[in-house]
Order: sequence, then structure tokens, then C-alpha cells
Amino acid sequence: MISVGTSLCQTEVDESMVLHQPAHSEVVVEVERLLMAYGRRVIQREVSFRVRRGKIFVIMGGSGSGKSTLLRHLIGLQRPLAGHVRYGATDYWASPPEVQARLRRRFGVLFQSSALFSAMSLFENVALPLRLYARLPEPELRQLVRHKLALVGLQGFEDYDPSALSGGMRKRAGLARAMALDPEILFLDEPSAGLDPISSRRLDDLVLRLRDETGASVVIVSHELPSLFALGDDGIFLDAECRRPIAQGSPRELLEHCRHPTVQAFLRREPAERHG
Amino acid sequence: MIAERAPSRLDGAAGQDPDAPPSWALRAEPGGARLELSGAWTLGSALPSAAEVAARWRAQGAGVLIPELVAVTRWDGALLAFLLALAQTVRAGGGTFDERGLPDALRRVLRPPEPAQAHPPPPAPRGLRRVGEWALARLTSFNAALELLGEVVLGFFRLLRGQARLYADDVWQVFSASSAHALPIVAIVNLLVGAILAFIGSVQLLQFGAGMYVADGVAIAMVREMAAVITAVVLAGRTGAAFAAQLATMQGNEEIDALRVLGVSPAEFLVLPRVLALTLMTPLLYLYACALGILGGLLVGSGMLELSAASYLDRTIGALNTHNFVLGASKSLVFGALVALSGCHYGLRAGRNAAAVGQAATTAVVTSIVGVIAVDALFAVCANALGV
Repeated sequence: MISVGTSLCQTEVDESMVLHQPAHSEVVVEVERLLMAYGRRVIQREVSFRVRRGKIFVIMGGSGSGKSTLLRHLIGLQRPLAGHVRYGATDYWASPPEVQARLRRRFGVLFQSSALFSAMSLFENVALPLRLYARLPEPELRQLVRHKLALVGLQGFEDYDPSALSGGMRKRAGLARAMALDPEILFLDEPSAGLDPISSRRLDDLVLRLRDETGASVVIVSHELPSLFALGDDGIFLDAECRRPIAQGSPRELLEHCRHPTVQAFLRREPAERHG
Repeated sequence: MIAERAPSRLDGAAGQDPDAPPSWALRAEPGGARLELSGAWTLGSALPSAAEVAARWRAQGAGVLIPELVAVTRWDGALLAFLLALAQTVRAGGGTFDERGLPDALRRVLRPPEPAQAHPPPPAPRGLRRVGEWALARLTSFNAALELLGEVVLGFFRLLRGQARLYADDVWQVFSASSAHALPIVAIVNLLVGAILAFIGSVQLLQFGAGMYVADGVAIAMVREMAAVITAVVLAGRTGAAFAAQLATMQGNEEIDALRVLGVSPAEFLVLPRVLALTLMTPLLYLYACALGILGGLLVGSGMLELSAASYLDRTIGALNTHNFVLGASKSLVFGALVALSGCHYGLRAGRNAAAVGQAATTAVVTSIVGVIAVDALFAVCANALGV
């Protein structure tokens, strides 16, 4: 079990732990001093980071640290108590609903449980965003859906119900749906959760390939170390005890340079020493 | 970890009867006592009470208690439970529980626990605060229900303008589940209700020589009240619960979140077809229920009253007028909408676990049934005031 001393939790975020701050590429998502809470229970405070174009940003942290909750705040499912989420120059939570709806069309989301619509076939799942927002004639739409499914290795499974697929296939189908509208930003919530190591590796490779081919920025919530190291260009580490971020940087940089015991324990998969 | 699965045999107990019952002896020592344990301390044995041992230790002057496995042949979790209880009692009584004479596996478990980092849950509200929070939760739920109703109405207008986003297969499935699939149960229940009304009516009215009015009573009761109410109750338990469970499961699977992120209103995409289906199909089911209820009355009434089927039907037709049907159909229209909205409302507000699905279905059914009865009472008052 990861456990840190109280004294560490009471300190401010150590600036030396903000390891990776490339200044050259364009910022597509900027999160500033986000305060997240369920009712009166604060989940995370003072969450600030930037996601740059074409980069993969990983949100790390142990179970219950608020990683998925942070993602929900980024994709417009949960309003923060305070702080800002900016897409380009637009503050999402300060915008009217129609602007929010336009912003949401710029991103694709793969949910932890894949969230495929159980009443629809795989084809219809991927076709739904296109039917909603693309003005494609039916034959072109069908071609595009088949292409998206082929991209994730699911050609020939168009007519399957989601319940007939394995966990890995459902994830890939969810990814195909998330990619349907060629989003600028892709949000993936625990993409490797529940997958065997080989399926997990395939999914990682797929994410990298899609990022390289489409140039999309990717935000991934994960606590799977192999995926974190394989994918993360940059990232943030949320701590469940302090309820605030305790380090920023790519997983490899954090492993090599970050001195925080919780981060080291997490990335080295070793129990942290108890303090006090 | 301690050997709880397979009972351990101790070397020191060689030559002993392995199934000897567990026993103990307390021997006085300077500053305390030594507890000597022997026999088989297993979960199947009748174990001595730790409280009894502790009482004897106190009677001997308390101090240090040193447990020792002298001739224990086998042990498992039973010995651990005994020693844990004893250690707790001894320590609580200010004594010292000296576990050094025990095997390593037991000693590790019996060591006083390190103080754990406390994560106390938020305190449960009490008194007036509890009442206030309950009332606020009900108000929030009511507001959400009104909001849902508003979204469904707006969605309906968008549908009329051809702008609503619906999934044809889902609409078809929901309409057939709300109508054709409900026919058998609606038939059985209403047939029986009609028969019961006729039976009770016959027994009572025959005493006054007014048996012929049974047909009138059954017809009016079924058409004005029972067919609509009974059908609504059946639909609440069948279709309303299914709606709640289905949407709650979708909530748990993040399908509702996925719709929201896609910019699709769940109220329009999921709730509107369900509300439309039940609102439009319940009046049809009501007419079917009326026919079956009257048939049930006919079967019992004609048998008990020795009336021919034609005479019974003549009386039935004579007793009914259009107002009765309009009243019953209007009720069933409202009941259908109420049952569908209730099911969808609780489904969408469900938590994200398996228990929440059951809770959503139960709450939806209870609310629907209470709502149906309350609205029926309101209809009765209005009908009376209007002279219908």
C-alpha cells in the first residue's frame, strides 16, 4: 500500500518536480487551478497543467486519487468548484451551452467501460457520431465506418453486438467510435484496464499509431505502468492523500528525477515507506 | 500467513491423540500466569471461552499472561480467534499479553496493531440537519423530474419538426415492449379482476334480487376505473421497472455519459421514445383490458346468474356511455406518461453499481403505483365536479 507522511502532504507542490515544460508546441488544453469535489468532499485541488498538440499526456495516480474525475471535468461531464479548463482561448465552463457543444465535437472519448451502446451493433455505434454531425450520404458513411473499424482491427465485426465481443475488442471499438469525427483531442479513461498484457500492448501501439497518423493530442488516465511508460510524453501525478498533484513530467522523467516517495513507489511498483 | 486452511500439526504434540478436545490450564507465575493449551484447536471443535480464561486470569491477580502451546495437536483459525479475543481482553484490562511462547505465524498476528492512518467517513447528519438534507434531496429529485419532463416536451416538439435525434431500432423495440409484449399479462390480470368483481357483485346483489345489475357494475367499474388502474399498475411493474433498470445499467456502463459527450440529450434519445411509447400504447392496452375485464365478468356472471351471454352483453352495453370510455382512456394516457417518466427519471438518476439498478427499479415501481393511485383520485374528484 502506498502511504506517505503527513508532512509531505502539507507542503506545496515542489516546483523542481515540474520536470517537463516544453515551450515550443501549441497548447490545446490548459487546466488552471482546478478544484474538484463531490459535495463537500474535495477530490483534488490546485490542478494545473497544459496539453500540447500531438503529445500524449498521462494522468497518473493510485486508485481513488481522482484521475477519472479529472477527466470528467475535462470532457464537460462534471463542473469544477473552481478553476478553468481552456480549449485554445475558450474557457469551457465559462462558455454558454452551444459553445460547449461545439467544443465537445472537437474531442473523442474512450470510456473505461468502453460505453458502447448496447442496443446498437458495432457499426451503428461508430456510425452514430457521423450520423449526428457529418453530412455524408449513406454509402460514404458506411465506407467511413468500415474504414474506422478496420483501423482498429475490427473489420468483419460490423454487425456484432457489443456484448458478443471480448474486452479488448470492445475497447478498440470504443476507440473507433471516439475517432469517428477525427477529433483534435482524444481522451482515454483507463484504456488498458481489464486487458491481458498482449491486448494492452496492442492497444498502446494502436493509440501511438492513431496519434502519429492523425496528429491528435491524447489525454490518458491510467495506472498501468507499461502503458504509462510506453505512451506518456508528459503527465501529472495526482496524490490521493494530499488531494493535489505532487509531480509533473513524463513517466520516464519522473522515474529518473522525481524524489517524491509516493511517485517513486508508484512508478517502481514498490510499497512506500511509512513516515512517522 | 497463518495456517487457516489446513490445520497444522505441531512437532511437540507427537504421540498425542490428534482429535483430543481443546483444553487449557492456568499456572501461576511470578508477576502473572502461564496459559497452557493442549488438544485440537480447530474450527470444528467446541472451544473454551476466552472470557472465562480471562476471568480466571484476573482472579489469580492479573499481570502478565503467557500463552503456550504445550500439547496442541492441531490448530487453525479457531486458535487464532481464541487468542485474539483473549489478547484484547487482557490488554483492555491493563495486563500484558506476552505472545513470545507462540509459533511465529501466531505471534505476528497477535502483535498489537500499528496505529492506522484514520480515514473516517464524513459523519452522518443527525436531527434537524438530517430532515433538512432529506427534504433537499427530495426537492432536487423533484426539480430533476420537472427538468426531465421539460426536456421531453421540448424533444417532442423537435420530433414534430423532424429535428429530434432518435434511434429507429430502439424506438421500435420500446414500442413493441410497451404494447404487444404486455398483452398476455394485461389479459390475465384484467380477466381475473372482471371475474372477481362479478363474483362479489353476484353474491351481494342476489340477496336483494338485483342480480341483473352485476353486468352494469362490472362494466362501469372496469371502464371507468379498474381497467385503467390495473393496466397502469401492471405496466409500472413490468415496463416502468424495465425502463428504470435499462437506463440505470446504461448509466453504470457510462453509455449515458457517452451520449452527453456526443452532444445527444439522453432525454430526447432515450426518454422521449419511452414516454411516447407508453403514453400512446397504454390507452390501447386499456381498451383491450376493458374487453377482457368484461369477458371475465361475463364468464362468472352468466354462470352464477343464469343469464345468457347475449343478455349480459345487452346490460353491459346499456350501462356504458362514451363519457366512461373518454374518462378511462384519458386516465390511461396520463398513467402511461407517469409510469414512463418515473421509470426513466429513476433510471437516469441511478448510481453506478449493481445495487443501484435494483434500487432504481424498485423506486420507479413504487413511485409509479403511488402516483397512479393519487392521479386516479384526482380524476375521480374532477369527474365528480364535472358530472361525468
